[in-house]
Amino acid sequence: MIIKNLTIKNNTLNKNLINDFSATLEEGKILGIYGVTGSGKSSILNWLCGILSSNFSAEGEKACNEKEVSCAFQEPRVLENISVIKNVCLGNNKASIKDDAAKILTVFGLGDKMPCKAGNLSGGEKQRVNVARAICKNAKLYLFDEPVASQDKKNAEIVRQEIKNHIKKTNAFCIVTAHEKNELTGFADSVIEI
Amino acid sequence: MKKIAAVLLSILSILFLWQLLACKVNSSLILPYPESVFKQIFLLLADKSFWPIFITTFGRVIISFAISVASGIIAGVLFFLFPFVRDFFSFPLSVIRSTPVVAFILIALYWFSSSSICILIAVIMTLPVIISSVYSGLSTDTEKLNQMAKIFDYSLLQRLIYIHFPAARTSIINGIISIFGISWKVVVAAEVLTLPKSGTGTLLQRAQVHLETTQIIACTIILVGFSFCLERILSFVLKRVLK
Repeated sequence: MIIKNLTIKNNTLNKNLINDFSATLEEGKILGIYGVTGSGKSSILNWLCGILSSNFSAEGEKACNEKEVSCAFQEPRVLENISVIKNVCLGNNKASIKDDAAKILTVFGLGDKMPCKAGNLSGGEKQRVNVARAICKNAKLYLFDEPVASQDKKNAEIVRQEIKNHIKKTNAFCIVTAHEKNELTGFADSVIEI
Repeated sequence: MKKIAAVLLSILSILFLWQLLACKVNSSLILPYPESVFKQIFLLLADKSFWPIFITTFGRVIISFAISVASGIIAGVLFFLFPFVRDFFSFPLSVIRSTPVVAFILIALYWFSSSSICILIAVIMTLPVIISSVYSGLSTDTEKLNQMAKIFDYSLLQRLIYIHFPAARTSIINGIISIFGISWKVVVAAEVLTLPKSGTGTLLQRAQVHLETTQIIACTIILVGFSFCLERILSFVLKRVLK
């Protein structure tokens, strides 16, 4: 899977955010993209998902179907009024979704919080729900926007390991973003700085 | 505590001013004393014939309120989902909003029975309010959650239930509470003008014809008291139920 000659322009500032970015993704491997805040990491992921804001315009080639993309956003975007498990299962038609969700939430240390309203969780816990939801969707391309930014060391390692295992198991394509290169060391199979 | 003290002080000030003016006027026809009005309130509340009249008005308020809430929510959702429907109805709704209630009542008198006019007019006057509350609530910015919903394949119904309605909750509750108050006012006003067989408005009108100012004020205070209490109960229940 490739991203070819991607240019993203901020129409409000009339300035290019991403200039001629290209990358090759391999099946079952994680591509890490790192860069400072505002460098355009999230914009690349949004473009791949087909949710790039109307303030931006993009040109480039992508060899993926937006329907087959799953994404864990930088901010959790959980539905605060419904339960943690429902947040993970909603919209997912997989027959085994409830079991899969329960399994991954338990791995993420949220097993006892599954029936609780997501609004009652801490920021780090909501972020793990966000990652769990992304992993549970059947997809060809998985995007994780700074998935461990609000996690403590132990939970960050659990989240990294779970993402790694899932990508290997499903043989899917994957992009993970981070601020620093060292956050991707031992996690991503290859890294690109933007 | 400070709020309660301020409200009590305000009520006492009104009563004091009322007493002062009543002493100055010294005519129960123009402004009766607070004491005689309160006596009349107790007499009315103790009068068995008053309650069926009051309940009839209350029934009309509840029926019109229920129709408005149900149709207002449906219309608000349709306005949100279909811009054409919103644009199509925006002109008639603006006309209704700026038309005096009395004009509607006088026209409706030609077409309907006085009893049904009270309900119809209350629905007409409250419907634009609830529709705009629902519509503006649903239009709250939920772009980021909608992007998430797109990626995770939420159906339209799931988006409405889990994203838009929670965001619209406060606006819808406020709309429902405010139309409850408006329904009381409009139903009683319509009763005064259309004089149905039974109704608090009819009672007020008869009292006015017989120059019973004490009765008018007493009846009004009962209506205001009931409307205020029911509005508080409704607000409490809605906030609990739609939590």
